[in-house]
Amino acid sequence: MNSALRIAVADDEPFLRAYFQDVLPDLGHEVVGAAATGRELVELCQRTNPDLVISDIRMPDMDGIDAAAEISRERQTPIILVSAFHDPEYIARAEQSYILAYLIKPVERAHLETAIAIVRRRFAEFESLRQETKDLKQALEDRKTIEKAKGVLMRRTRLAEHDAFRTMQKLSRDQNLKLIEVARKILESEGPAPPRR
Amino acid sequence: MATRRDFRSQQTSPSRRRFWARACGVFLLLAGSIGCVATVLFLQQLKTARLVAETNERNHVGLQAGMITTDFAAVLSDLRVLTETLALKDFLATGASADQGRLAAELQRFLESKSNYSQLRFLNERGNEIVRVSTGGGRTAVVPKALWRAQAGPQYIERAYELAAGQTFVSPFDLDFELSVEGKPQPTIRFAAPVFDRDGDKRGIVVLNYAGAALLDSLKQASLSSAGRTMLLNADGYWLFGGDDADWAFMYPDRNQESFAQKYPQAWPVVLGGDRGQVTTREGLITYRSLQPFQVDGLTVRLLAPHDLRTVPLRTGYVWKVLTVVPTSELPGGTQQMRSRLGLLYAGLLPVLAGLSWIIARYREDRERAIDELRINEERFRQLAENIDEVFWMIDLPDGKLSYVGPALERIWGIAPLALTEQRREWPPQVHPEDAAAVRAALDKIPDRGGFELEYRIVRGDGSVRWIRDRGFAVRDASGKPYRVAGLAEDITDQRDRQQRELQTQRLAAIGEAMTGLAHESRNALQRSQAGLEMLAKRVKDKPDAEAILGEIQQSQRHLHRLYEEVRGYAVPIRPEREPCDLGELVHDVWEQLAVARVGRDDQLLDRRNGQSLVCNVDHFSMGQVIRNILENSIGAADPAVVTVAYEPIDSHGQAALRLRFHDNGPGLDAQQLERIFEPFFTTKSRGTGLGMAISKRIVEAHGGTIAVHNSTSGGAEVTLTLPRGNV
Repeated sequence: MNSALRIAVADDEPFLRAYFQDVLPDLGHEVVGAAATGRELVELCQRTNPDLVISDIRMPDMDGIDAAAEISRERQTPIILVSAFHDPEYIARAEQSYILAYLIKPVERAHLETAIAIVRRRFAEFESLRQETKDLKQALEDRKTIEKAKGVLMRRTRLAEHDAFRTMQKLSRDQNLKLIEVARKILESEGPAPPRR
Repeated sequence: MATRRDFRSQQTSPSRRRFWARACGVFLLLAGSIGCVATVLFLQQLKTARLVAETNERNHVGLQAGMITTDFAAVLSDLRVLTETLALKDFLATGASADQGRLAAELQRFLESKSNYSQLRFLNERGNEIVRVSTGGGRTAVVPKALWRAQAGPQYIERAYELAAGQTFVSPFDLDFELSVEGKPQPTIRFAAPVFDRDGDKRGIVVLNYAGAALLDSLKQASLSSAGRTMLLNADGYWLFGGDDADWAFMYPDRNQESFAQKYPQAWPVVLGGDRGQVTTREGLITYRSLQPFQVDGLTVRLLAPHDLRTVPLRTGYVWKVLTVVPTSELPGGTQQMRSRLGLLYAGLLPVLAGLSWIIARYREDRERAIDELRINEERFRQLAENIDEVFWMIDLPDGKLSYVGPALERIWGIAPLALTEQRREWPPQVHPEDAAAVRAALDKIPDRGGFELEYRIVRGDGSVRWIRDRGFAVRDASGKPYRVAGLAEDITDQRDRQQRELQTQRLAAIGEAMTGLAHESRNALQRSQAGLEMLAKRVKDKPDAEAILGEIQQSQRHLHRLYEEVRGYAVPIRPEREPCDLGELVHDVWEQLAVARVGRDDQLLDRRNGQSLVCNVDHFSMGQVIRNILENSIGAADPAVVTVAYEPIDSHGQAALRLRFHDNGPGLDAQQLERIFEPFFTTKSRGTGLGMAISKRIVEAHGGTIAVHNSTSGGAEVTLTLPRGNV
């Protein structure tokens, strides 16, 4: 659980970049890179796929919130924002992205330590929930496809619903295919899908 | 003008109706009263005229009666003279025919000189006629014996012969059929008296026929002075005169119905019964008078009431009635014509009265409208002066005494207006001593400047000071000379307070804006500093003295940071986000949060809650901040600190509220601290910002509550926090 994280940092101040590179290893993490602008941060993330991003908000060419949105679009990454500002406008924007913590400057080592720990746990929970959702969605989708295939089979062979399903199960066993694959094949053989209801 | 017309048109319907009602009322009153007065005057006039007419009739009747009486007095004296004639005495003495001739001539001369006798005779003691002289056709002649008609021995001759000296026989007034003139019997009265010779022996009688025609003629002449008909009746109510065809009806047996008594049955009993008088009957006004023609003063007349004369017996004595009958139509006011003429005149007057009524109603209407408008104006002024928040006042120049002051004075000054105006004090009363000179100067300059506007302070009876804005305007007479000053004074204390609060808020907002910018920049600087400190700390890990210095720097930095945040927090506008919150629990939570500050101490929180609800609708976070500030102060005041919190539900201006009393065991606050504790940046702590209580006050006030600090009687400071429950 307390394994080292690969962290990308961004701040337009070189001194603070140096600070992060100095203090994060002390907390047992690896700094994969330090960006000076938002663009640089996005590129850095594309290149290194970090486990965590710690970014300033105000930076030249692209601010931290926009950069976070871009990064999350490509790959879900936990992000901690650190800013001297906590205007309602910033907070509202930050709520929309994958931003798991918002720290107000000045931050101390202790603040960072607790924030990272909490973010890591939250992100893990978040990820598992997301996976679960994804699996459920797929299952639902498969179920729909099988039902459709069953309908086609019933129409074609004039079988009762129960018998049509039995037939599909038998096909699956005989051809050593998953039931969903059998269903897809049936639908493919039907040709272009009939117009949707 | 437009408004006036509007005012009228709005009022038209009810005012029109009222106008016509009033005009009608006036008209009826006028017409009625004039009608009444005219009627009364008319009746009065009528009465007078009637009285005149009645008097006239009475006089007329009296005059006629007198005339008849006088006439007959003359007849009686004539007869006396005749009985004493020398020629008659000589003839009786001699009996000679020459003397008889002389007698006849004498009698003829007598008869010629008188117009009212128709016949004169002398009869001897045996009833034989000796001489007869008659008047007929305007001639008087001695009638020769051959032409004498035979006398049927009339009774009256015998009667007359029986009379004593000085006595006279008078026959009833009737018609003489013997002496008819042109076939008409003549009305006649026969007078007879005995004749005595020189020896005093009765020798015969003289008979004088009185021709009534002359009497009746004179009655006829005189009757012109009466408005009606003049009549002469005998005692039985038959007409001797004035009855037209019914005259002398008693002479004819077949006409005995034609009498006054028959024709005027209503009047006759009155006329018969009374000596004189007037009676009004259906036929008209009847004026009568009894007449006894032969009762004349100075003459002794023996009246013998003859009976069995001709055909009709006389019922009573020799009494006549002279009377006039004025028909109703001849009496004043008796005719319908006069009344209808009067009515016509009155009807002609009515349109004039109607016009007059209209004018009167119009005049009254205008006058009332003017009075109404005046009253409305006055009412408007009164409402204005009495209902405005400002004190309306007037002073008279040049003495500057107050003549009017509005009732708002009582509210602002605390003085009854009457108390002020009756004493005719000067305006304005109770000026603050520091402002008195400025007020005096402004008032003195009014005549020159025409007005003033001034703000000054007054001291009320209870010692409180109010700010007044006063404006005065000179009121000028026709010549432009100011004679009065009218003004308005308003209480601007609250306004000034509000302005000052607003100013404070604006100042704070400005500071807040500056502080926000400053805080942002400081955060970046502090971040750099923090980073530097931490990085440096790593590098001096093995040098404890250096670490100690770094620790001190770190502390200062944290303090600086907190200072920045607090100032910023004080300056930003407070917008409480209310939610139900148990204040008792909040106090405990805050006490727990302060555990760090109480490390190594033996502080106590004594909670005096006794079961009542302590829930208020407050901003959880900011109210926690307030309680934190209070508790921090208590902890700082004593070691070990004992803080007692008491809760009390109260009613604040009709709203449910909760009062919290925080009492500590510290030394309490000195006068300066008590006065300034809520001022920003006022602090007695070496490391405080001096904003804690100031922020607390702002938060509490933003919740609509109050916070106050004082020293408890049992020692120690007491903070009283009152918060409205706010829809819990």
